Amino acid sequence: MISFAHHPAPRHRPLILAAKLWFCTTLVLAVIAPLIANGHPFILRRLDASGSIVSIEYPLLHALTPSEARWIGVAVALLLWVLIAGIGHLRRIRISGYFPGVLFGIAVVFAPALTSPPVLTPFDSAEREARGEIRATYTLIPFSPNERAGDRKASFLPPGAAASAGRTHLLGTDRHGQDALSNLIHGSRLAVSVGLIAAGIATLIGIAVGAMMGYFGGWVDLVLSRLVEIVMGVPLLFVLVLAAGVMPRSIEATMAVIACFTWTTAARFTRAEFMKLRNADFVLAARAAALPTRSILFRHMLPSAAAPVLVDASFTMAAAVVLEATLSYLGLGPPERASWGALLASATSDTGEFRWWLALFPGGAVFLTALSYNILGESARDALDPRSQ
Amino acid sequence: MTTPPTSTPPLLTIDDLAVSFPAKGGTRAFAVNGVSLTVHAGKTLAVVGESGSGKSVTAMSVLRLLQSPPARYERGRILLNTGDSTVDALTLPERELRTIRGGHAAMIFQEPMTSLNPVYTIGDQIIEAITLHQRLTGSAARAAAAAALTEVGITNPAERLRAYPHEFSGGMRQRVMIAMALACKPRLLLADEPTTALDVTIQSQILELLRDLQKRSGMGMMLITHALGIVAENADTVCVMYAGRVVEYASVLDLFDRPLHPYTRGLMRSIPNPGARSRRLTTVAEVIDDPKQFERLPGVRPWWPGHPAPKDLEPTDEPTGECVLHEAEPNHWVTCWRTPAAMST
Repeated sequence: MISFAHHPAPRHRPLILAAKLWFCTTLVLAVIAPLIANGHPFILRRLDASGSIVSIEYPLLHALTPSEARWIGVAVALLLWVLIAGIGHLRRIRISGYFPGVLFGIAVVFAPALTSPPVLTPFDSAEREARGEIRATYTLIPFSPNERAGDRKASFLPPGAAASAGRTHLLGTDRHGQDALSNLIHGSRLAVSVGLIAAGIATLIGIAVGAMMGYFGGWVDLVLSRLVEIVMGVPLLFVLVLAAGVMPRSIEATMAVIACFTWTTAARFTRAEFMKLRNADFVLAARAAALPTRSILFRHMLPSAAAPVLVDASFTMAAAVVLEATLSYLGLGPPERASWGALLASATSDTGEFRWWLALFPGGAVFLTALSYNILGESARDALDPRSQ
Repeated sequence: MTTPPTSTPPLLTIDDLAVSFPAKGGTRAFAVNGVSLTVHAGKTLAVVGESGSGKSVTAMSVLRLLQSPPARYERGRILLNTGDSTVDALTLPERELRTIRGGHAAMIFQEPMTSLNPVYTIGDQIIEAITLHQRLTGSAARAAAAAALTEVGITNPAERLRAYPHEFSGGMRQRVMIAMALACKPRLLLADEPTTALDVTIQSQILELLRDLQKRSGMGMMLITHALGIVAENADTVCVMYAGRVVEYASVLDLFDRPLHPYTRGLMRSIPNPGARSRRLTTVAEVIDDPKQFERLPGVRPWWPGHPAPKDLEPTDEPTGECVLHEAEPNHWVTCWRTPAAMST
């Protein structure tokens, strides 16, 4: 049906807003997870026998890994940049174009220097606090994802169960007695990074291959189209399981495998757009001006072809998140990394008991993340494509 | 073909060019079949003909811009005089072709509305073209781009460089296209119906601008059009095309004085004449369908597709086929059937 409405149907709006919120939440959580959920005290005051403060330490900052520190540094730099640029804009102060570069440079180079790995600090702050040696201030969720209570009774605690030193497992614990909420928050890092990086690489490969197919046509198109068909025919989950066996069980390997087998849809979309565009007048004009092929393809044609590819990228992201969760659920994810899939695997175990909190929360997180990427993709399609309704 | 007015070699010589495209049933349709023409420095050659007569394909072939496949260059040579050497555009390696495109020969297109990339500013696009062929960077390139805009009569160039194509009107965009084409000082300009998409006022402004720029730079121009009025005002030499062939080739005065091919006569007579108001316009078909029109040249018969060939037609052993350009008057060529009379001039 043809409609002349200029705005997309308003009934989708709250859904899209919710999807955006969830997307931003997982992204922010992924970056600042160690600042939110950490078993190391944020501030640690050493006390002498009389109870007065001898010294103040910040164990949490020191316990961050360099890459965690770098990411948090970048996030802080971004925040500072937005703040200062905003103030500069209001006060009409001209800020040097080098400023953000310097800011991010400092963050990337110096933030890891604040840490002091390898981390040797044991999780004994609670006991020492009980003995009155220290007074500790924890972050919001005072558990590290891999922090295990020594005894077996701490496993499979239901939500709200009490832990040592007056702490509470808000969402219970998993089979190792690790805090579920802390794992949930740290698990977002794996999900978000796999989603963004694997789908990002896949889209880049797809654009490069699709651009060549669409622009050159002929035998280039013929050969690469067959390659696309072959890659599309490979069952990705089996390849991932196989890769977990023969390749190092790292997050990078998983991302690489996912990217290597999901670029095909992006390639097909790019090919179709470039075939349409290659006879466009401005492309002809660019060729007549002898612009290099690289510039014609990626500077002049790509911006006009990007919309459907970007929409497709969001679907690839959702698929990558689900794939990562599946692998971790099967126990084939990167070891010693908090993951939604691994948490989900705790829901059922050898005793046959079903722990609803370990199914509901990580399962819900995977579901909401995949759903929000799909909704964002759909809304982007509605916004970018005037023909779709 | 026509004797050059000066002793300098022509900038562009197209010799027996034929370009084909795939057609139904595995055959190939010839969009251009045996076209020959020359463009001299400082002169304008107008290529006139109706849609589909092969004008644009000829111009695009000069810079080898046709997608190949599907297009295929079947025969011919396109000789470009680059000042110190003469190269054949059809056999030139892609890398050397790049120095020709934009640098030696530039092209402007029919549709100024779509020939500029909508996502970049005018400045971005002109500067990209400039830096490609000249060693200029940063502010120098920007200054050159602003100068190029001033050349084509755009006021306040520094500010206009920051504007996007959609902020310009059609005529202004065509000026920008001309500025881009001329930014690298080409010696040959291929103008493919540069004013067809513009209204008549702007049309005359743009043509005047092109004439003016040509006078200043001494470049040769191949002006493709289907309007005989534009031909009369702008061209030195005219090449009338039909069905992929040159049917008549003469200086502009000769052609308008004495059109020798019936098709050219048909074109001339189908122009409205304000003086004779009561007369109904003659159509091209009326002229072409009149057999007497084809009997005016002594000894030879003008070629026309679909007409039966004369009995004394030479065997068509050469690829050009059944017709030949016949010099009916000094420097006035008409395509005739390949009879012995037509071939002995």
